[in-house]
Amino acid sequence: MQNNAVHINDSDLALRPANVVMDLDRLGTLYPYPLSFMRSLLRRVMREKWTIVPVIFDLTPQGYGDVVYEITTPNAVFSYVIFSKFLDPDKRSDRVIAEDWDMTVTLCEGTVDKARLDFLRQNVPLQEVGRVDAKCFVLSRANKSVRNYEHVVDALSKGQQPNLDVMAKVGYLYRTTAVYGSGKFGMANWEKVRESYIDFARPFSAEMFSCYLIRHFSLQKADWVAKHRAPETAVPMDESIKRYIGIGNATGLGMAPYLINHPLLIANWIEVRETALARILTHTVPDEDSRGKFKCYVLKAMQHLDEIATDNAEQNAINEHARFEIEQCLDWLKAHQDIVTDWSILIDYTAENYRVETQELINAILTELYADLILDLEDKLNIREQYEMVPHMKLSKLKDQIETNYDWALGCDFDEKSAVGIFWYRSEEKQEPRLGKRFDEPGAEKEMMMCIARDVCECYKDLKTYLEKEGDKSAAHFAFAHPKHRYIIRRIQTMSATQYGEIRANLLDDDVLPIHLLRCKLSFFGVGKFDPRSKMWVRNTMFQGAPLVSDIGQEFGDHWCFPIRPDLNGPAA
Amino acid sequence: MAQQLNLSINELWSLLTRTFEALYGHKRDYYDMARTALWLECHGHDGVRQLIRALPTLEETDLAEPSFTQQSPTHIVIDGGGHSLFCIGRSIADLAMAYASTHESAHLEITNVADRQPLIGVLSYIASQHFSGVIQCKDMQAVISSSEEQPIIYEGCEFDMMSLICSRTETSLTEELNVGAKILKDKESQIEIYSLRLNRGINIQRSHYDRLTNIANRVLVEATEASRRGAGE
Repeated sequence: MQNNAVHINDSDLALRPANVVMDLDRLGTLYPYPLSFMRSLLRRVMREKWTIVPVIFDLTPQGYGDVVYEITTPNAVFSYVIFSKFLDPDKRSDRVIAEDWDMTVTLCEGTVDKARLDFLRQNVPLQEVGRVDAKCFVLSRANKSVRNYEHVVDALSKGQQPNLDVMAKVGYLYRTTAVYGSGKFGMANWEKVRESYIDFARPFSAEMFSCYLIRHFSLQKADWVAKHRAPETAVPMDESIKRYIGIGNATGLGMAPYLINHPLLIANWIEVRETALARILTHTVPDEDSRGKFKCYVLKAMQHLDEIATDNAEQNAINEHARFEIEQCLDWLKAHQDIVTDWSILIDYTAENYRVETQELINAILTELYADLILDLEDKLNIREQYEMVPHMKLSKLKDQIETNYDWALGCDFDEKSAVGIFWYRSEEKQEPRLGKRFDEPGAEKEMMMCIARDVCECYKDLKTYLEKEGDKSAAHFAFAHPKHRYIIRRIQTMSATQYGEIRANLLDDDVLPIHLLRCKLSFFGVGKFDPRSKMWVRNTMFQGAPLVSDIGQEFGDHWCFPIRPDLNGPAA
Repeated sequence: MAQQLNLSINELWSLLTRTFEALYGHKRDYYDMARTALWLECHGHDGVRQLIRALPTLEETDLAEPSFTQQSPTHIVIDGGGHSLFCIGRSIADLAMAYASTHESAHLEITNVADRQPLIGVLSYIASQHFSGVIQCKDMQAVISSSEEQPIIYEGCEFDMMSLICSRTETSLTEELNVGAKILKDKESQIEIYSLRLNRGINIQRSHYDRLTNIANRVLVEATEASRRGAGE
């Protein structure tokens, strides 16, 4: 895909306002788009023609043993080490507190010799309890989707292809339950990854690559086990079905604190996304060709939504509404194509007539339609986060910043019990983040700092009193007198300098939906097909529809958004 | 069991933030306290060892809040209330910069604090805000230029009082340094240590790790059936 956007000046773009974009209910409807991390990663892999070859493939007929893939990029060689084992079904759990898994993996620099493999074998299968070293930069694990895996192996061993109805319901063979990076358990720090492993210098690129290779392994393993189960009759899986199989993921509350603890990074990701949309609305106009492509994407998205299978009634209703409304939108566009001389007209119409989910789906489709106009923005997704105090800032200015940028927080009534009914804390079980009911459960005195809105309000109240008493002194004086506000002061000062600021939500409210935080982050990863299991965790599918390792080096169109069932009689989806 | 444990910078950061969070809850800026300790450890100033030494003070719950003993436009005296500078160092640096921004430079004298070395850990913060800074006390002198990320550490001087001088300009600070003081740690060695620790991790004494972990674990809440429901079960 060509990058046609390097000449574009973004300084005059009209971005959507923060009060619209940063609303948590809206962030919880975001769809993946071309700059999502797994899309960005695979463009690079395909463009640079990375080679991924198994240098060790030492599996039993049942698929247990060691596998090492060697990855060669234009810059370096890496190894992806997999330990696959039999897992007692009673021990198979998606929860972070699980202690045993079907497979465990690590991504590390360089090649792996016997001594290194032995070291990794002693530690990687232990996950959080093991210790790796700074040559490793991803540690992860995955469990089988037993029903799907058995169905696929059974079918292949009988010489048949898997039933697509089964695959459509759960589009993966393995599901990751945690993907660790950034210096955990002795691994390389993010700063080292960014500076030393430039192939993985974009956010979460290494973590996404690990998930991609788990998917690759799951497909190879299914073929392998089927072949050994019935050498006379087994057939390899059809490649178009393989492309339709992604890698599952279970994401819980552990992801939520990241969004609150890294507001600069999240605000930047949002700004890049909004810049992409604003570029499209500013620099393109609908014509016959683009309307035709828009229709193709809408039809694909409709089928995609039709095919999502979840037992969650609320999610089903959301999908059905979105599917219905984008079809309506398509009809409206067809009927009004003479007056839709600008995509903004369509966007305004959707904002007035359709739900937020549909609005964001249309936005995502437009970014797919004009991907070549926005791809250069992927280099802007990295920033160095610093939340420094501006000590000499006058308190009158700090007060203005709060009133201007945190009006949403000042609007919360924290005297209401329901506004503080929830507290977030870390459990002694693997430090897993959990939610508690403040007035019913113990532990509120140990709550995590997820209470940005409340902290802003308390700071504002003390600031007004201090201002009246002491006059317009500096932020440093106020923080010296009220040390408990120092953190929130520097956060306010830092975020006030950004376009989008904070996620606008009181996360202590009885009615908070943490799943919106999860989906927001997952959309930036590129995850789709959300299957909420509660308001606190969600199953989803990654890399469904993505090119296979065997596709590297072939022509690549980067059109694998909104994955749909393959047509086995025609070209791959 | 090995006497030393190798941690990544991020692991140490996580341990330090939880340690300070456990010590102070939301009553102070525990993130920035952890940053001070982490900076010291990553640049070869024994941040963890100093923190271990400061723990008895950091665990004191009835220390007085720091206060001004004297305030004139460019000369300020602060009574630290017996606190460790891990706890109050950055707030003092905030004041120094606030004064220096309106008066070109500021001279703060700091009395009644439990330690001195942690203040070195806030000099890079001062430089990141485009100020230069000098620390002087009997244990050491340290200077950082606004254009640098690492200070130079010199042997101490004869002052009884500890002082922090902050300035918008470089030249006024050089006059403050005792001429001829021996350099104890230059910028290059700190850069090298940081690079090594980034690439190979940080060796921490296991006894120190265990002591900090015991404190850090105070932020954890006991697991119950109800709490498991709070994870979405």
